[in-house]
Amino acid sequence: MKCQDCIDFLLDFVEGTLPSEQAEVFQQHLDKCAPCVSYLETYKKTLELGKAVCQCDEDTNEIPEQLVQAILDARRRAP
Amino acid sequence: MDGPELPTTAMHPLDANQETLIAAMQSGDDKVFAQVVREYGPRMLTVARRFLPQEQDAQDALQDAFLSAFKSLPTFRGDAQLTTWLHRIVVNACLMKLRTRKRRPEQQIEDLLPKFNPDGHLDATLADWAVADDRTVENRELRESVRHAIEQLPDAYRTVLLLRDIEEKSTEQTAQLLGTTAGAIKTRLHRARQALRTLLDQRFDGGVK
Repeated sequence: MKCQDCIDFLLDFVEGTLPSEQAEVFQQHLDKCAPCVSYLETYKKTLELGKAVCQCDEDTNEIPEQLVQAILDARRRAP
Repeated sequence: MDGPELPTTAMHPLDANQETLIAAMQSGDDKVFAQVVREYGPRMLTVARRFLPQEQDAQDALQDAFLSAFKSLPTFRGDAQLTTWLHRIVVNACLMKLRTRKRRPEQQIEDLLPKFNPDGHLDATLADWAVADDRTVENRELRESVRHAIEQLPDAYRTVLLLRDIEEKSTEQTAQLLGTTAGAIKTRLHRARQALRTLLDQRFDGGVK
């Protein structure tokens, strides 16, 4: 297996949907390829960071007053 | 378009008293509508901004979503949390906006995918991601870096990434929402994740922070 094949299988490997035979070949490649190990780790870290940032509520406490008024005005005008 | 309970919608304080709230809205009480928009609006605007990085698009989608929700109040089922119900309507309004708005120039996804040598081996010097390991999402700069990177993804890829990885829809649900096949969603998701990884790699390589 080449790195290119390894990267192609990454999604299924991470999601646990790679058939066991292919997973074994994938693992054998990782055992001897440091760049792919590093790529896999940063791919997984990317998912973790995306989820954690989007679930972080700290930056979600504002709505422009003008938008609030626009929504309320539109509701009043709605049939 | 209904999906399972969404993960990012913890119970809102107003949900605890939602029967009273719904009844007041159904009777057309202006003050209660204002209270609902002010209380739920910020969180829902954050959801809309993820799908629609252009502020005006996000605000338009939020307005459409609230109007649609108010119109649908008579059909609101009491067994759902108001937050969850609103969240779903906001996501649908964003998808509708993405379908109908004018396309903007976007970065080509191919530029963000990994490069390989002619022999099929990875052609990359990977950045040091220690910065991401050392800092948590409590770090504002890191949060902004990640959000900005997500915003940079082309629409079609950002949408799939958000639906699958953030909204935690299944591949099949995502395919149904976007009117395509599960296979196409898997391909697009993998490319979106790789592109986001590259964008973060570039940021961390530049010493972001």
